Amino acid sequence: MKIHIIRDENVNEPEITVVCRELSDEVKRLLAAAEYSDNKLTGVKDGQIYILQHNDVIYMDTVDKRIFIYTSKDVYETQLRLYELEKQLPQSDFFRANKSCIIGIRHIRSIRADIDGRLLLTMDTGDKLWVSRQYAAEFRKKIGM
Amino acid sequence: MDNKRIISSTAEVFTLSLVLVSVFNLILSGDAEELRKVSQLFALCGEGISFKALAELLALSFGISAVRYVWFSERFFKNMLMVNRITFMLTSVFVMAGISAVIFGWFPADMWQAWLGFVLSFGVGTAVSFGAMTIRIKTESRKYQSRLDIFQNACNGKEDENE
Repeated sequence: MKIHIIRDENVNEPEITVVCRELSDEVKRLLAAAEYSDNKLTGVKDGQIYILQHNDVIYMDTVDKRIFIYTSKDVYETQLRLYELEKQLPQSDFFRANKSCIIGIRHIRSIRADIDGRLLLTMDTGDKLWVSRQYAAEFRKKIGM
Repeated sequence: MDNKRIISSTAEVFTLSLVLVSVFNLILSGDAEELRKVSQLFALCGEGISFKALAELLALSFGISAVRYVWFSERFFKNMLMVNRITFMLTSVFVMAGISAVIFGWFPADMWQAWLGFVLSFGVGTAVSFGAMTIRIKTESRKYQSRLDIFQNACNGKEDENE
């Protein structure tokens, strides 16, 4: 990969232009890293990159080592790792529910406590997600229990 | 952390079993001599519980706690339905208690009345525990839901202010 840096004193905000034959995983990862540093969340769907609002994200889940962002309308893939997403998202609105999932608290419709300390969450989309015992304590703290 | 859970669960089960045996001791103390002949649990004729019986109850309590941990832990059987977990756990506990009763001589294995009593008391014990567990889970769920509603309302309030 070639990297060109052009210094221009008239430019107010740094600008990145990517010239590529296709949106390969390498390019997607590069873009995700750039947007990560810019505090924006992006997801890829059908080869297109979308900028996502934090409020629209219902949860993020890992499937076969790939990370997907679920909104009420669509599912996007991201090249960022869960720990990177966790750092980027506002702590007050999101929490780690288990080793493979980050959940948006505002989008939880209902909670059911389960035997042995786990929690079953029903999201606005109707999806059901587990909060493992390991992460339940952090969630309790977050909602003030 | 897991060791702590098993130890605290063992303590709970052991305490409950002591209470139950003591209650039976009190109720059946009139037939103490007869009871002594058929059950090692009442070897002291209603005067108390022997060290041997205490050790046996402790061993069973530990066994029940370990079995409970195996069925309910996320470490094993990750995708098992809760109803299956409970069914397997109860079956395991029933078998373990039955084997303990025979091995430790808590009642004669060839006495059907004793087995009937065992099944009935296990059934009642299970029903009571299940009822208590259901109430606890429902109460906890309500508490969680109420805290979540407060949290979400507060977040939405902040957002409205910002707008």
